[in-house]
Amino acid sequence: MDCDQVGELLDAYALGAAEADEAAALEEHVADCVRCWSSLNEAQQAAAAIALSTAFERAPASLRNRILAETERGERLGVPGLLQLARRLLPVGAGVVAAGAAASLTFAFFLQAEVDDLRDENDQLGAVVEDAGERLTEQQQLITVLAAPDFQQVTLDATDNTTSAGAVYQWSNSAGTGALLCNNLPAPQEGQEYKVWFLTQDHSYEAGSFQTWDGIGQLAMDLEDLPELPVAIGVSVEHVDAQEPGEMFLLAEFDQ
Amino acid sequence: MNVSSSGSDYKQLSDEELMRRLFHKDRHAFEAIFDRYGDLVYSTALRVLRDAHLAQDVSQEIFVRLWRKPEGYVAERGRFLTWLISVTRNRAVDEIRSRGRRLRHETASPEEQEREFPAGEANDPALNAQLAEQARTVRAALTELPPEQRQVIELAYFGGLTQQEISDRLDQPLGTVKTRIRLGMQKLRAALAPEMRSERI
Repeated sequence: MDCDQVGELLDAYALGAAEADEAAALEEHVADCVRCWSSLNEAQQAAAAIALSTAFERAPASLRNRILAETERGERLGVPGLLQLARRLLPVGAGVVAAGAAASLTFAFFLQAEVDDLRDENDQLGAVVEDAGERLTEQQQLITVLAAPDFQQVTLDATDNTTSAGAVYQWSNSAGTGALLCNNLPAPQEGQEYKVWFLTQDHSYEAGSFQTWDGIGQLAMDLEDLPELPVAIGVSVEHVDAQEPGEMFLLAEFDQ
Repeated sequence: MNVSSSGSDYKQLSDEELMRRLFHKDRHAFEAIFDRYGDLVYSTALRVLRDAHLAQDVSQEIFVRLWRKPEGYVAERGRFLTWLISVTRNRAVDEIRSRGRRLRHETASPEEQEREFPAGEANDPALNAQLAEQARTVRAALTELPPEQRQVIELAYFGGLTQQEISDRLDQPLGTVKTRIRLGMQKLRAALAPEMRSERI
C-alpha cells in the first residue's frame, strides 16, 4: 500500500470501518511513514470527537463504586505478590508443559514461603493466608499430575473468538488428579464465578469453581469421583448457586 | 459527578499529569480521571451497545484496565481523551460482534434519533463545562454534513460496521459508501481543525 492508497483509506480506518486485510496493510505502511502516521493521528482525533456528539448520560453511582471496589480488591489480595508471581512462573498456554514441572516446584516453594511469612503477620491477613494455602495445595496436585507417567493435556479454546482467554487442562488417570490453568480471563460480575464442567453425551458434572486474579484462574480436581468418562471439559461463567451449566466460555473435547 | 474524594487539586491537573501519577498507582489521580470522563465513557458505550448493563460492564472493564495497565496509553502517540474514547468505542463494538448483535440505526425512530443526536444547544448535565463546549462544536459540525454522509459515518463509528457491511445494509454501491465516508470525514476534520489544533478536542 502506498501513501495515496493510505490517504484513501485513512478515514475509514479511523472509523473502524476498514476491512481486516486493508487495515493490516495500512498499519504496515504507517509504521514506517511519518507523514501518513501524522495524517492518521489527525483522522483518529476527528473520529474520536464523534463520540462527543452522543447524548450524555450520567454513569450510575454504583458504577463508580464497583470500579473503585474492584481496583482496591486486587491490592488487598496482594497483587502484585502472590498472583503476579503465579503469572510469571506459570505462563499458561502452549509452553506451559515444558516449563511446568520446574515452574510448579519453584512456585510451590514461593507459595510455602509466602504462607509462612503471612502467618507471622496479623489476623487481618488470615484470608490471604488461607487463599495462598489453598493454592499451595492446588500446586502440589499439579506437580503430582506433571510427574505422573500417564500425564496428558488438552488445550481449551474460547468459544467466543474475540477474547484472548485460554486454558490448559492437565490430568493423570493413575494419579486420579487433574488441574486446570486459565489465563486472560475477564473478571466475573459480582455474584458470579467460573465453574468447570466435565461433559458427557447426556450429563454435565461440576468439577469445581474458581475466581480470577488479574486474569489468572486455576483449579485442581479429584477425578476419582467421576461417574463416567467425559467427552469434553468446559468452563462457564455462572451464578455461584448455579447447578447446571449455561453457555461454555472455554471448551475442549477429549480424544476418545 | 462526585469529585470530593479526588480533592480539588486533582481537578485542576491535566489528563497527562493525572496519567503520570496513575503510573505510580495514585488512587486520587485514578478517581479524578473517572470523575472527569466516567460519564463520557459510559455514554459512548451506551450509544454503541444500547444496553445500560452492558455499557456499565464495558465501562468498568475500561477503567479497571486503565488502573492495572496504565502503560496501555502512550502519550507520544496522541491525546489521552482520543485514546480513551477509541478504546471505549472499540471495546463496545467488540462486545456487539461477540454477541452477534446488530444495531437498529436505520430504523431508529425520530425520537430515538433526537435522543442519540441532540441538537447543538442541548444541555448536557452529565458533562463538565469544557467537554460540553466540545460536544456542542462536534454536534454542530456533524449537523452541517449531508444526511447521507452523516449516516454512513455513524453506522461505522457507533454501529461498528465496515464499509462493505454498510454497503450491504443500505443497499448502496461500495464505492458510494467509501466516497461518502471520505467526504464526510474531510468536512468534519476541516470543521474541527481549530479545536484540534488548540488541542481542545
